[in-house]
Amino acid sequence: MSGWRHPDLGTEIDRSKPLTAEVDWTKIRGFQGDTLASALLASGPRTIARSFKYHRPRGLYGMGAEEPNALFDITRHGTTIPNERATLTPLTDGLKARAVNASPTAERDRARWLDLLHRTIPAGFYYKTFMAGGWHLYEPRIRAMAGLGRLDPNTNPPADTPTRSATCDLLVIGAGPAGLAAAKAAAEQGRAVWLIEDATYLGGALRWRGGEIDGDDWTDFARATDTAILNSDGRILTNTTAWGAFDHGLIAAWQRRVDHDVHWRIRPAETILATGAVERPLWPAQNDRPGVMSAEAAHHYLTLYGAVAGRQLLIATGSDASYATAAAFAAAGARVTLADARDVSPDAPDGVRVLSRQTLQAVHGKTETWGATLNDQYHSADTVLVSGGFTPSVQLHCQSGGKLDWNAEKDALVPRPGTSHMKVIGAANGTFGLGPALAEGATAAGGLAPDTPDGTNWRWHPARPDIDASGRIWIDLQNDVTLKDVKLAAREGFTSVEHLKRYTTLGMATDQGRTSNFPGLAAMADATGRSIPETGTTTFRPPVRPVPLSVIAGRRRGDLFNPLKRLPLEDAHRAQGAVFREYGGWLRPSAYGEDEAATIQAETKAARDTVAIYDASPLGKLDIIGPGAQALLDFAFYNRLSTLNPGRARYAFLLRESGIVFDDGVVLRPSDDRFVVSASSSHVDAVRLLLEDPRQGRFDPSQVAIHDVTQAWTTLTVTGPRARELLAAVGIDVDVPHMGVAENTWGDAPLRIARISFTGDQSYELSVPLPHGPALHARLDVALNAVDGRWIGLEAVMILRAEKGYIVIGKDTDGLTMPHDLGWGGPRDIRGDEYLGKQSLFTEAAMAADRRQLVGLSTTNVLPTGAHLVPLDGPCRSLGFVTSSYQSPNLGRPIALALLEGGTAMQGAEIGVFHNGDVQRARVTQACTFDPEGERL
Amino acid sequence: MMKERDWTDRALAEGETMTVAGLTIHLAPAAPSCLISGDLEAAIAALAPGGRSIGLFQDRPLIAAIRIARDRALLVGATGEPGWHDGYAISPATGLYTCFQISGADVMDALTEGTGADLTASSPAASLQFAGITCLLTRQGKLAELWVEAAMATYVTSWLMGRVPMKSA
Amino acid sequence: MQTFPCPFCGPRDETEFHFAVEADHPRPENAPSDLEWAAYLYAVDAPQGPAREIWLHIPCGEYFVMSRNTRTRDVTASEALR
Repeated sequence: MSGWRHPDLGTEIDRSKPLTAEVDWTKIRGFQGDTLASALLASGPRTIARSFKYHRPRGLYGMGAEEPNALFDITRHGTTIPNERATLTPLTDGLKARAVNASPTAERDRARWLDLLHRTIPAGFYYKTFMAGGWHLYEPRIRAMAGLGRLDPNTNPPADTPTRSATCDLLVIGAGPAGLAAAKAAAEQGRAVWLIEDATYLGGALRWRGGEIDGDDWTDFARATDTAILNSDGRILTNTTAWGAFDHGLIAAWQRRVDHDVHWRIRPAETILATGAVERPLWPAQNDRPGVMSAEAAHHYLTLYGAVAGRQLLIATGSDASYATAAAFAAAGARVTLADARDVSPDAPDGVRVLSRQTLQAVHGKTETWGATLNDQYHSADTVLVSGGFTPSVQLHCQSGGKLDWNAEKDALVPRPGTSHMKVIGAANGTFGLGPALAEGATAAGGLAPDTPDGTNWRWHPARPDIDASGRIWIDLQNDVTLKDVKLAAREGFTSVEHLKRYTTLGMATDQGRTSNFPGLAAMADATGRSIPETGTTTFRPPVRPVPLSVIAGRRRGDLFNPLKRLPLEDAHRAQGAVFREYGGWLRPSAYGEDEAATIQAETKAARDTVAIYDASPLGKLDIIGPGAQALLDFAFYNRLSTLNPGRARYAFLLRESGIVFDDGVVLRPSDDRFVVSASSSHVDAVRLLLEDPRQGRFDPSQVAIHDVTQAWTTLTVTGPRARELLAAVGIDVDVPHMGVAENTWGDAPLRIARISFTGDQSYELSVPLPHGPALHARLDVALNAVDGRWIGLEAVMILRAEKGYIVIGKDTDGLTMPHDLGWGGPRDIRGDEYLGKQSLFTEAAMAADRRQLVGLSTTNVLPTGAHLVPLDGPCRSLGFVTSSYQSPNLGRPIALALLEGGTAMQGAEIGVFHNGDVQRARVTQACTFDPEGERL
Repeated sequence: MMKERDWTDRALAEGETMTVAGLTIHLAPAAPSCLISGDLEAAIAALAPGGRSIGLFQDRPLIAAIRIARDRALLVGATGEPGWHDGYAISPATGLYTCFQISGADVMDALTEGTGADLTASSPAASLQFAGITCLLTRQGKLAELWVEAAMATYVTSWLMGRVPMKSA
Repeated sequence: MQTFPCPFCGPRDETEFHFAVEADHPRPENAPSDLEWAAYLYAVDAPQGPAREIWLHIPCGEYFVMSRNTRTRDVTASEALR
């Protein structure tokens, strides 16, 4: 009373290669070429799944992406992928499958008693019930009982799917008769055609229905198409799904290959859509019983795999097209009764009993089918094949903005011509039947219609769910949505199809409404007295069928995910024992020693005791060159730079037009015509592009150039009381004033020295072109040892600068900080000329007295960075937060910087620091706590 | 402190060649170079007479101005004094770009994996987004040349070396 | 993924571009009122249909004006700033 393997039939299986697989711990046998679904069907067991909500027994229904029931967690070579459809899973030897949402197995699922409660858990029950005590009490258990698939945390698919861009003259999506005809006609005209097909073989429905084209078997036509395409520089991709139509004609396609998948981004000059149609079911009571299948799917399994759905078949249909199916089953040895809904039926095929004017009212069975009721009469059957018409697969047309029109004659929503950039042909366009599909395909490509004797009339008797019928009728099998739920939605006012979808979850499962959208909208139309076009459809969005994230993410993992910029001297630093961390998109030494905490303190101390060197190469170097440089910089910067003399450097801010500080840094002027903007290492590009805006818009770009040469120079900063001594030992002339810059040479290498201090000690930034970096590093290293100095990492630099109250953009400033909040109100008060952000500095908000201002904090312990500052008495509210916080070895105590409301006026006052429910006290100080007079510079 | 990712990949060294499946990658030695902006014709006439402006995936002679923008180029094979020079600006930039020379059966596969730009369209600018970062792309005969700013050379090495070759379909 | 035309480089994938600001909103100078300044900073027309926008082509760094239809995504023109 179940499926069986025909001894001879099966055009796509290789009987010489038997395979074994395990489904819910039961061994099943199949052959090379089988899918898991065909092997399951041929093996016999009917109940292979449990439904999502009610845990009802379910069997195989369909043949492709429309399959609502047969979902499994598939384990291959130790990797488990959840929620795979058996219909789309090739059978491989040793494959293990477990039915999703069933425990321990689909047949003996422990939660099957849930179906007894079905009256209490209709659609949207969770909006009305399980409220007492709060939904959070019930949610975990309800979620555990209704779900699909299990994630194996050890699953780590390789990042081996490249994304490839391609263009072609004509893209034909779908290799059924219409697609083949179009591709062949175009290729024979010499066009470069890309033909993509979801299945492993070309042909579409021809593969199981067969057919004669141009006097030969259809396989000859397919072969000729293949040849024509390859001869005119085209390409054929099978096992490839066009999963999304995107802007400007881009088609995304997922190609499944044996070695690794490929993700294609194709820009065709022209696209023809030939994606076929999906058979509609019928809606008798208990239509979800195992043993109820799509007639087309059953025919597909019979011909391609020799997997026969049953022995006593009842085919309920309303079209001539199902007669070929009936004939095929009868020829295979099954007993077939065909129940035609129409008054007049064609002649019965050999071995088939035909009944006319039949209405399928109910299916009977439990874990398998026993029979069905037609016209109030019971008929025995172990399999009920249903055909309620066909729904054109128009997703890609709609994704490209295409509209649909209701065509009553075709009983389908078909693409409205001219509303998308694609030509739609064949069943996807409502053109059913082999002859018409071939003709439409060839014509679309400007060719002649191939010949076929097949004259089957594909018109069918319109079938709809009967909203007045009694019994449980399923509309969406996968999400367990019944006709009663649609009527409930209508009664409750969720009459728009978009609301129907979301209220009942109809069409939201992994089969994406392929068999449920049409009956759902038809039932809603009926229930609300509207026509189908009046009711409309929901919006189609990519993907057309589920695509693994690993395909879309491609190779962007590990070293290729969010890659860091690397220092040219990285190897040299590693040789010194540096530990590396990420700073502003660069990989830089944090400290030169494994015990970071202790090493950082020692480095910070050494930098003020003797001398230290750190790699400052990532600091931006934007050359601003030309007669227009002064005007550009005066406009772009908060501080006037035209007054900067050659050979000098000046600290300056870049503001956004909102007045907010965007970057700070030192601008050097090595010569009259050249400035160098030191952009913060984390946003050099952003600073450059911010400067390019006025350069190109407001000013004449031919008079000023911006060159980003950050990565053309290695910069090593020597800092500390013995810095001059070290440089003299290396032969570098240090006669440069504080905030001065000089361009010399070192040997045969250009050397720029900028005497700028980020540490508060005498500091010299030495910059040499990249090729000379290693030599300079080596020479300095030798000299460093001689003066008891150290290489220091970024962490020590961060403490040194914090001891001086020097800010780091984005750390000690936030999205509201203006320059006067940092103590730099001078330019605002002085400058009369226009500059970026000027107007914003004079608004009411900008002039308020209680703005958050930069201060220092003194406490007895290291404060957590980010801790909010609160009043010590009165209502607790945030007055600002701790922005930087360290243990200072040079001061022997903790130091911190913070942004505090009205902080400048609160010197010496005490405020609270809130952290994890506790408030500790801190005293407001100046930001600079070490050498405030700057004597060490 | 929190343990972070250990970045252990490394860049090809100058002059080094590596082959992976259908791709051979060679890191060309750094030639003297500079960035030029402004009146490019005047700059080229002064620094590299006879030199040409090279666009996307175009054939590049040893001395050439690889066009980055309407008014900016990377002059390879010549350099000059930094600063303003009567209509054009120079910034010495030897070593700023690393040049990956790529050859082999899979070159076009690799290039179409890195960019969606039409390489046959004669774009006047050799600059593009490749593998997610801004690069320059030129040619020397059958060699594809990918110019990458120095700090991203390690990433591009990993990207090219970690390619998954496609065995013939 | 759209294709945008840089006036210098030609057509490229949209990932090479960055939207800057709506075009035709000149910067108010000479002490604008707070309202005028706020409008310059924050008020956008966001038209549904034809729009003129300033975009940046990242690889070459050129800012330019692109005319396009925000509803249909058609690009009608792109012009250099000068």
